[in-house]
Amino acid sequence: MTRPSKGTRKRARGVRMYLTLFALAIGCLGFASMMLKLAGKISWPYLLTGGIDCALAILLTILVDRKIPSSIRVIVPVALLLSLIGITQITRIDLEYAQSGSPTDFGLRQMIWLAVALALSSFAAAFFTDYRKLRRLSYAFMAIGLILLALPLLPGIGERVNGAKVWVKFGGFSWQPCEFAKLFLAIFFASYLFTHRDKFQEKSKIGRGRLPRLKDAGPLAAVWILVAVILVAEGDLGICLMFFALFTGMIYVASKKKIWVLCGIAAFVIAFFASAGLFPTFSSRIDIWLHPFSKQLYTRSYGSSYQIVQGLFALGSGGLFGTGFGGGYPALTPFANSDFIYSSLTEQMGFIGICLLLLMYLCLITAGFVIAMRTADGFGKLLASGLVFSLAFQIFTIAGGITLVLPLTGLTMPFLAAGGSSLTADWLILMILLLIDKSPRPVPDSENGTGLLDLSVLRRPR
Amino acid sequence: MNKSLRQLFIAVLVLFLVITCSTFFWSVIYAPSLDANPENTAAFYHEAGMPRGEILSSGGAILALSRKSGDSFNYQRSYPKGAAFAPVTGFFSIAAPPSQGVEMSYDKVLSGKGGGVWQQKFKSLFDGQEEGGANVETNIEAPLQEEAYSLLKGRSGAAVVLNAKTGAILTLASSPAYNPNLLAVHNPQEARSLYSSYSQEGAFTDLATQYLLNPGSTFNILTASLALRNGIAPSDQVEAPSTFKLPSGMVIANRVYYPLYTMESKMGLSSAFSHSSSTAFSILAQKFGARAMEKEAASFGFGFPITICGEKGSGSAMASSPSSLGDVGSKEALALAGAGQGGSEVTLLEEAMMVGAVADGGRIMKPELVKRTLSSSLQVLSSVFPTLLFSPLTSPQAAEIEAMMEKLTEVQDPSLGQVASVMAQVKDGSQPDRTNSLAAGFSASNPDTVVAVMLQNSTAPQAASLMGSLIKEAEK
Repeated sequence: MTRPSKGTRKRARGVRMYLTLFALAIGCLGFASMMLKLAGKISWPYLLTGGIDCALAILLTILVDRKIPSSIRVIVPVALLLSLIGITQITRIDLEYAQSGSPTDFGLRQMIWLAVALALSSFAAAFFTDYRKLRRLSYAFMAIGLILLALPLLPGIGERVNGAKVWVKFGGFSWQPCEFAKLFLAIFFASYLFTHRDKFQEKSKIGRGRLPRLKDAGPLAAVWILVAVILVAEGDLGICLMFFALFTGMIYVASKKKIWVLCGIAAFVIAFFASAGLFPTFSSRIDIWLHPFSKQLYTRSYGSSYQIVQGLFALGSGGLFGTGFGGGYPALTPFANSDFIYSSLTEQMGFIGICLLLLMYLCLITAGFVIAMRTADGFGKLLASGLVFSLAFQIFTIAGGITLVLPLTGLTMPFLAAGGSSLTADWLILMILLLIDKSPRPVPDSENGTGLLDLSVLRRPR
Repeated sequence: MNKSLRQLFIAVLVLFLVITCSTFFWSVIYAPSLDANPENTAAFYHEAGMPRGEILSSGGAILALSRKSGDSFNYQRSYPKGAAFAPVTGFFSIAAPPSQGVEMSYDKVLSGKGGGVWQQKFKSLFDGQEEGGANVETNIEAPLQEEAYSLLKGRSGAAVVLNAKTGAILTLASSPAYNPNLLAVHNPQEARSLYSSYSQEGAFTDLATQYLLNPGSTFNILTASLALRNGIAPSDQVEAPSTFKLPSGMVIANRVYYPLYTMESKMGLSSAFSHSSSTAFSILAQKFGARAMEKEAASFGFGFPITICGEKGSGSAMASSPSSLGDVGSKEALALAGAGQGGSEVTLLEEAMMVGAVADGGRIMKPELVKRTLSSSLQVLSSVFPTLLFSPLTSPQAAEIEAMMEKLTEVQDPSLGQVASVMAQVKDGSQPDRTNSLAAGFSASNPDTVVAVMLQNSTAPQAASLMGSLIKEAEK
């Protein structure tokens, strides 16, 4: 395989920048037309922060281009467009709140957070060249992850929102540490599984010879149980599900054994029913999942189905084509800019728009899987697969919760929902994926430079 | 490891397919029933967010309009003339979908969703004007409606004024009435609690079209018409004993304050009519038989709900309760029905239509609340043309009955000039110790305008005097 010529490489870099500029153009045009339609003007804080966001996005693209030239090109532009759509929707809901007399500035804050996320990502792209160094610190990361996860339980800084204690108030602002905990624990798990991988594939002496020995699985199981206990104590089913997906996905990839998936599902089901028995919040969520339109559940003062039913009304009002950005009444649903951004976006963009949005997500996820499959490094493979599968599962859990496929959970839509911690964490996950894509590949890649997203690796080898 | 990754990827594709399907279900397939859910304020907001058309009186006075509101609803519906016009306008509230008046029957026109508004929509494609609903102009004469409501206020009753020539409803008043402005508030709790208390009070029942009562001697128009059809001239003698005993032992009696009646007496048909002799018309009804009476009643519109508002595609039609003769299978029931009692029941609207047939040479025009629909620039989009609904009488028969009605002694008010009228005082269906009263008529000098009045818990002269006032007001 010959190295592509210098000209091809230059053209390839151009493609990455064009894509970023294209995403910025669409995002900014959408934001501006929404703003001009509803507010008549774009005030200078938005212009200023928006300008900084654009500049940082271009900087990030240049840095990725220089430092990780062979990585998949669609990731940054797609994530950028998703973030901009999120900002547009959050600002649109701000404007509706302002109209009803209680102005908010979640949109502007989200823009500032995007700048922070892009700056951190640029920093990572520029200076953090070898993700494999992370392995050395894996036990430290485990500790940090667990501490972060347990942080909301501490009296004084933990905050209870909607029955779940997953927020931390620190300084002037609140953030959700679990998003970062997920990142740290994913690194630990990937590293641990990679080191002990052979033990998981090996047959043990107990049982029918399918489970690994307790000695090998012990530390992993202990951390897993600890995570589950903390999350149940915090009372959030959604994050529980996300971690479950992360671990199960990773173990399945490492061991190739379906028994692990079954174990994971069994553990989750047990935890689920235990929580349903123990916590009234849980059982009320199941009630409203099963009977959302019941009058009694709709009107009760605590834990009513009001929010989910309003979310469904928003879906219905969107229809096939949506009301357009600026149309409709998305602010009627509580938490329309965070937990329910999926339904408020469906109202604005319609079913067709939301399909395009899901395709964008699928694009990111496919890219993640391609990265996981084509990397030669086992640690990277496990890390990428865990992160990307939990991202996919998170999207499924939210959209499924809003459309009554699952009971509703308190997760937020990646890149779209209002919330700085999740936006930053999501961007860092993407950076890790891109860095993993830098690692050596077993298959010399033919497209090194030109294609957007080479799917050949997904094909079943003959 | 790539094999498990490939399987994981397929699992993700399946999960995405599931959420795509579930989103499709709620946003497209199940959307219509979500939109129809009464709790769905978003659907209401969507309607309220567009300028809804105006409802106008015949003279162009605004009965309902939408103003910019500045809150998240964008527009506030208001009714400048309030409760007086409630049976006409209906209400537009967050508490319930429109279920009354023009707001219901022309919902699609007012909201711009259909009913011949496409011309306007097509135009707005080019001139870029804000897409809104069309306006609806009613036949209501605002001063007359206001006068009727102020006369009814504090009492329980209704008034209808019809143009007998065209069927135009000039007044449709009912009391007690609800205030549509209070229902149009944007606070959901407030609107809902008021809505439910109004429903419990029965304030949404339009007494003019939804309330049924015995017609009493006003029903004599119908029996007299049958008599004329059977060749009995107004001067012909008919039996009119002071009491008439039915097989069950029940007695129908002429009202005692006519001392001229004696047992087994006879009098002219015209006198029997003008003295409101119950016995005379009971006996006539028995003589003609149930079949003939039923046929006669049907020719005057009994047995049908009368649609007074709404055209094809404009919204749910607004119709009156059907008047009926009741079951006249037995001789007794037939005799009672002949006297306007027992099972025979009419709405005030039917009463006005019966008198209208007399006033307009025997024809009953379809009562119409709405005159036409107008675009936002007041161009006519569609007009409601007068249509003949029934023609129960020939012109000479109508003239003969009119002559009988003019002789009705009790209603004569010297200041009114010659008035042709009928009146009755009947038992209240739900509370037999109370009486309701009915009066309907028209001035001989202005036979096109027919007035009908109904009062609950009152006597016939009260209804008659109210009718007189409205006839006078209509002549102005």
